[in-house]
Amino acid sequence: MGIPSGPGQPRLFDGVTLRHFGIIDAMSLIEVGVDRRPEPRWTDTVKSEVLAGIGLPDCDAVLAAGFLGQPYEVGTDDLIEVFTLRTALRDLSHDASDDPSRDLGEAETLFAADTLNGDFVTDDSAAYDFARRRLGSNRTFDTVDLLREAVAHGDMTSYEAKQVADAIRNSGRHLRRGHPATLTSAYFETE
Amino acid sequence: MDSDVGSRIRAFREVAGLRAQELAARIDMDPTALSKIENGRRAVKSAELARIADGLKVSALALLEDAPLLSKLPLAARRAGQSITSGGAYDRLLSLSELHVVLADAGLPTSPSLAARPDVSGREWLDAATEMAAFARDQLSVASTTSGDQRFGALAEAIEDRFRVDVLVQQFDGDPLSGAAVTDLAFPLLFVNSAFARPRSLFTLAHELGHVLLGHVDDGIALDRELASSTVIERMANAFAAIFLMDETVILETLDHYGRRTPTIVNLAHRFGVSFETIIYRLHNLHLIDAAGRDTLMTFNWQQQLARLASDPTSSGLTKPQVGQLQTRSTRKPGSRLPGLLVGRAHEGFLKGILSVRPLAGLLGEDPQELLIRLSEVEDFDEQRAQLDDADLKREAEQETSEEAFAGTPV
Repeated sequence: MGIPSGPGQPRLFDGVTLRHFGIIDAMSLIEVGVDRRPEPRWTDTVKSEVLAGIGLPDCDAVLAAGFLGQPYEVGTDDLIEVFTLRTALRDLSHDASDDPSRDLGEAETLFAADTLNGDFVTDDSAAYDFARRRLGSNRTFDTVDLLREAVAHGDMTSYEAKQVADAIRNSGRHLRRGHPATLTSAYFETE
Repeated sequence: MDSDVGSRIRAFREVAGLRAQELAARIDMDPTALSKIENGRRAVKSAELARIADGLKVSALALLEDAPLLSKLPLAARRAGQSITSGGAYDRLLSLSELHVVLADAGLPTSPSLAARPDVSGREWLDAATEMAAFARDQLSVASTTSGDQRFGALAEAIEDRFRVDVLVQQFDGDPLSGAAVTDLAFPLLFVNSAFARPRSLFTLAHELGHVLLGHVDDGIALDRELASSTVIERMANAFAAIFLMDETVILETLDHYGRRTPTIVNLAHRFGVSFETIIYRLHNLHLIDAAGRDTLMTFNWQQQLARLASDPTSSGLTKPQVGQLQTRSTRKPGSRLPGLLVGRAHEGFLKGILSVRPLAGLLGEDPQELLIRLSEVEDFDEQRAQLDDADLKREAEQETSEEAFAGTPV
C-alpha cells in the first residue's frame, strides 16, 4: 500500500479507460506508457467486457491491441478478496436486472494491481478515489494522469495531450469528474 | 478450494430447488462446465461465479467461504417460499448483509444492546411474548408516549437508539416480502416494506422487533410475507406486537373513561396507531369482548363512524384533525428510513478506505460522484459526519412538512 511502482511493475487498466483510447484509435499512447513494464495489463473480466462490445469501434480497437497480452486471471483462492472488493465498489441501489458482473472488472483490476505492486488506471471517480486510499496516489492514474506523464516524458506536447482529451470527450465519453469542463494545454504540464 | 466452492454451489442449488441443468440454462452456462465446477474438476472464473451467485440469489461470498449470515438468507427464502427472492426487497437485504460482512471483517462490527433482555427460553409462547413486550415497553418509552401517525417513526428511531438494531423502511410495491428480521445478533436488522399503510407497517415493525427480542436465533433471518400465525414463532411475534403496541392498562383506562362504545374504539385505534381489526382482536384476546362482539365489530362500518365523528368528535375524545388523520390513513404510508447504524459504519468504512463512495451513496440514495465531491471538500472527519447528518436531517424535515400537510387536511 502506497509503495510507488516503477518500470518493473505492471500497469493495469480498467475497461473504461481502455475504451477511451480505443474510441479515438489511440491505443498506441497506452502502449508507450506500458513499454518496458511486464504484463499483465488487463484482467480476464475486463477482456470479457470488451469482447461483449465486439463490433463497436472502441472495443474493436482495444481487442486489436496485441500489446495488452494475456489477461490476468484470478485464482480460486483469491476470489474472496476480489468479491470483497466488488462489494466495496458496488452501488447498493443496483437492482436484480443489473449485469451480475457489474463492477467486477474494476475489482479484479484493483486486486491485481495491489497484489502485483502495480499501477491501477481508471476514469471512474469512485474507483479512482478508492484506489488512491488503498494503493496511494502514486499508483493510481486516470486518462489525464497518463497524458500528463506522456508530456513529462516528452512523448507528446501539452497541446497534443489536450487534443487527445478533447477528442475523447467529443466522442461522447467522459473523463473523470473533477477535471475542468474546459481543458487548457497548461493543464497537462506537470506541476 | 475448488472442490469446496463446487460443494457450496451444489448445496445452495439444492436449497433453491434447482437441478444443475436448470441453473445452467438460467445463467446461460454450459451444463458440463457447471458440472465440472460443482465437482471440483474445473476452477471457476470470477465472472462465472458472479453469474452463478446471481442465478442462485445468493451472495458470491457465501459460495466462497462459510459466511454464516449470508448462508442463512437462502435458507430463510426456502422456508418462506422461493418466490420471495423474486422481488427487490430480498436483493436489498442481500446487498446490506454483504456490506455488513465486509465491514465486520474489516474491523467495523455491529454493537447491539440487547443484553438486558429477560430470558424467556422454555416459557410457554404467550407468557414469553407477554414478558418480552413488557420489557420492550419499559425500554422504549416513546412507544407509550406517542400516538397516531407519529408512532411509527418514533418507534423506529427508539429501536435504533436503545437497542442498537438497524431499522430499514423502504417501499417495494408488489413485492412478496412485507417485512423481515435479521435475528442473527452479528447484524440485527428490521425491515418494513412501506408499500402498506401506516397501521399495517407499524404492526409489521413491532412483529419484526418481536423476532429479534425473542431471540429466534436458530432461524437467523425471518422473511415475512403476511403476518399470519402459521407457526409458533410467528404466533409469538404477533402476540408480542399486539401486547407491546396496545398496553392493557391504557385500554382499560380508556374504556373506563369513555365507556364501552364504538367511539372509544376509534380513540384507541388513533392512540395506538393500529387498524380497527387489530384493536378489536386485542380487546377479544383480553376477554373484554366475546367472539360474537368481535365479529360484529369486525363488520362494523368504521368509515361511516369516522364521517359522523368528523363533525362532532366529542364522544371519541379526539380532535377534528385527529379524526381526519384516521379517515385518510389507509392511503398514507410511512416515509422511508435508512438503517442509521449501517450508514454510520459505512461512512467510517469509507474514511478508512474499506469502502468506495458507491455503497455509501447507495445507502443514502445520493449520486456517488456528487457525494464524493461533497465529502472531498472537507477533510475533517467530524465535518464530514456533520455533512451526512445534515443530509439525513433534511430528509426528516421534508417528511415532517408532508405530515403537517396531512394533519391540516380539512375534516
